[in-house]
Amino acid sequence: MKIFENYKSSLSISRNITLITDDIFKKIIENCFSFLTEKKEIHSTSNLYKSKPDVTKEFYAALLAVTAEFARKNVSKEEIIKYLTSNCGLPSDRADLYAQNFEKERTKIEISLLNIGSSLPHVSDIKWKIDHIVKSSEMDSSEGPLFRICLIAEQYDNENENKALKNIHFTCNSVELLDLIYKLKDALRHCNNLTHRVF
Amino acid sequence: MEEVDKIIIESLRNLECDIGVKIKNLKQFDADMVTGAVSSCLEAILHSSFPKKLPPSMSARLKLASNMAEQIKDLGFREDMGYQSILYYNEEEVRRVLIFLIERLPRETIKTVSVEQIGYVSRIVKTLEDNIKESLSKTWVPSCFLRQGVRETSQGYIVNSLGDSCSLRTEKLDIPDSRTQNEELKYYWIHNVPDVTKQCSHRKLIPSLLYKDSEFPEDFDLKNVIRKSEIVSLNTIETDLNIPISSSEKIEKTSVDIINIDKDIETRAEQSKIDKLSEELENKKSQYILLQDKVKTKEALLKELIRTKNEEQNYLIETLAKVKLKTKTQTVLSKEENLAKLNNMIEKANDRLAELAKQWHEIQTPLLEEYKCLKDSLTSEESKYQEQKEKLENFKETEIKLNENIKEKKDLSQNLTQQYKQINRKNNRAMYTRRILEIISNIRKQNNDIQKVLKDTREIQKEIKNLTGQVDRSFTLADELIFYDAKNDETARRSYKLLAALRDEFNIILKTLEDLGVVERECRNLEEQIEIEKSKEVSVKLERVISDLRQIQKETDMMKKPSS
Repeated sequence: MKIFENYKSSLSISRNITLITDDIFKKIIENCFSFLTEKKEIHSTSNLYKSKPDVTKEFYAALLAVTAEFARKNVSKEEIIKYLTSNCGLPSDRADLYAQNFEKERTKIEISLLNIGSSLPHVSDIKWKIDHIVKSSEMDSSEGPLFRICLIAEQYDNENENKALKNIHFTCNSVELLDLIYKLKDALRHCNNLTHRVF
Repeated sequence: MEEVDKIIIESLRNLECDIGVKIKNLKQFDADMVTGAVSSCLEAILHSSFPKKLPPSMSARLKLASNMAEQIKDLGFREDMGYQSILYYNEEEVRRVLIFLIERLPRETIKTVSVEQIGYVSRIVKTLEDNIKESLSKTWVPSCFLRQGVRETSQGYIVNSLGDSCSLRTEKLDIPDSRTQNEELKYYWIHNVPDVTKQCSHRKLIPSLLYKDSEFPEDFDLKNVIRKSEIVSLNTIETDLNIPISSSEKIEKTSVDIINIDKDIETRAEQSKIDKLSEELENKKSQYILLQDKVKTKEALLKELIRTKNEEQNYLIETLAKVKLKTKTQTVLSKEENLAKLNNMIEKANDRLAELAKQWHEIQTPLLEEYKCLKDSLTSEESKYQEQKEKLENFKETEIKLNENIKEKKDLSQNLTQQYKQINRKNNRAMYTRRILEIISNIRKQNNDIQKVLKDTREIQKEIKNLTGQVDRSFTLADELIFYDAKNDETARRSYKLLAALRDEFNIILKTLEDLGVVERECRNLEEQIEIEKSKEVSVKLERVISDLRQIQKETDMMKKPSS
């Protein structure tokens, strides 16, 4: 729990019941989880500030950070409650409320975390055509058909900040194509082996 | 039989049947334990639940027991089996039934338990296999239908595509900190800083929260860098181009001026006049400005002079007042009475001052002491407070350490219990092999004994055969001798007859001896049979059955009464 020391003072702001009332606390938590699970914030944030917007902003930021950290470290519900009550001094009903919401959204937050990181494009479709050069000015024989292949893959577009389709073009002859097919079959066999392994 | 009992009890314990530690053989069993053992065996074999304890009602007991007996018979138990063998404990029968049931126990349960994956890599492989299995068992869904390329299932989630995952890039977030005292910063935080969620794009928020931007250089966002530099270079080129454009405009202007020169010549005469007038005007203007400056300097001088005059007047007034005062005192001092009075007053004032100083001293000393005391006590208390603070911190540290210790110990105990279980299982196998070896050695010993007994009986048989042969031979010898003599001698003839009689008698004796042996053997057999019958305790059983019957009748009567 040493990583969470940074957030301790910021989280303990919510001990101040007059500044962050139960209603505001609930709304902040709902906002936090809905934002982390790739939706928009439910409640308008400007309504949540009372006398001290800066403190509320700090608490909100700390809550977002600590939620992501909990999901990253796979912290159990009991440990979360223990951390919030004993380390940050939150009242137990607030800690319970947070932990319940967290358990509900845990997998979704994990999925959000899963989607951070560079990964290879995901092939989702394929287009192909077969060319055959019969004769040209330089040669009058060719080595069989040419396969023009276009793999359609999904990849995150950093500029537009959304998922985009990307085309991967390549050309190969029949031997190379066979090689590719054998590789794919090999991978398939490996997967099958893994699932049908007898102990 | 003890070995068999041990094995039976051990395997029953493995089935999590409730058998006490003190119980070592089947003699110590009672009806409840027998039903528990049989029901847990049946559960393991048939995978259906049976009650582990006998119900209090007699009819229910009978029903349960006969049901169990039927199940056991269905499993292929050949020998006599009924409700009585469960309800009325009989060591032999129970042993036979339990041996039969334990032989029928499924082996797979033991196998699956014994092969357990240990270690990080094998566990990962296992989860991989489970994941692949699960994803293969589900129908395929194109990733454009999935949110973030992940599919949620009952056991977790299947990652279909990571095409939606953005690379880890962070931005510097401006998060308020309530601990600072800087008012301007606070003002900025309160009024200007937007929410943390609005400071960067949605996908960058989580990485920015988790990592500081200094930890990951933004080098790999090369496209943006290149674009920025392109924009900058374009701007500089444009500014460079602007300069020549302006000079050309000037040239155009001058050409327009040249066209206008003709008109200028016409108006030149008037122009010269105007020029002269304007020159004069300018001269006047400069003169006027000079005069104004002079006036200003003079005014400043005047102001200064007035100020000095005022100051000197003030000084004069003050000195006049002083002179007045001094002349007054001079007049007072000129009389001697006044002087003496003044001297007196001065002395009195001096005395009073001394007195006041004394009083002050008297008041001051105890207060000072008190102050010193209080200061000392404060410092001592402060030191105490410091000590206690240190103690508290120490306690806190120890608490954290102890908590960690407890956690470690818990983990250790869990590990140890797991290991203990595994060791138990292994022990079980070792115990079985040991027992089997012991049994084999026992059997070998018994075999040796049997061989010895067989040898003895063979020797005795041989002896008997030898003896009978000897008897036969001696008889034929005697027979021949006496027969040979009997032709001549009368006494010999008689003796021959006697010999024949003797032989018959002996034959009879031998036969009776053999018969006796047979009868003895039969007797022994019968005795054994009697013992077996005794062990079955038919009369007791019958009595029990009769009493059960009565109880059932009672119960049925009881049930009839409320219904009638």
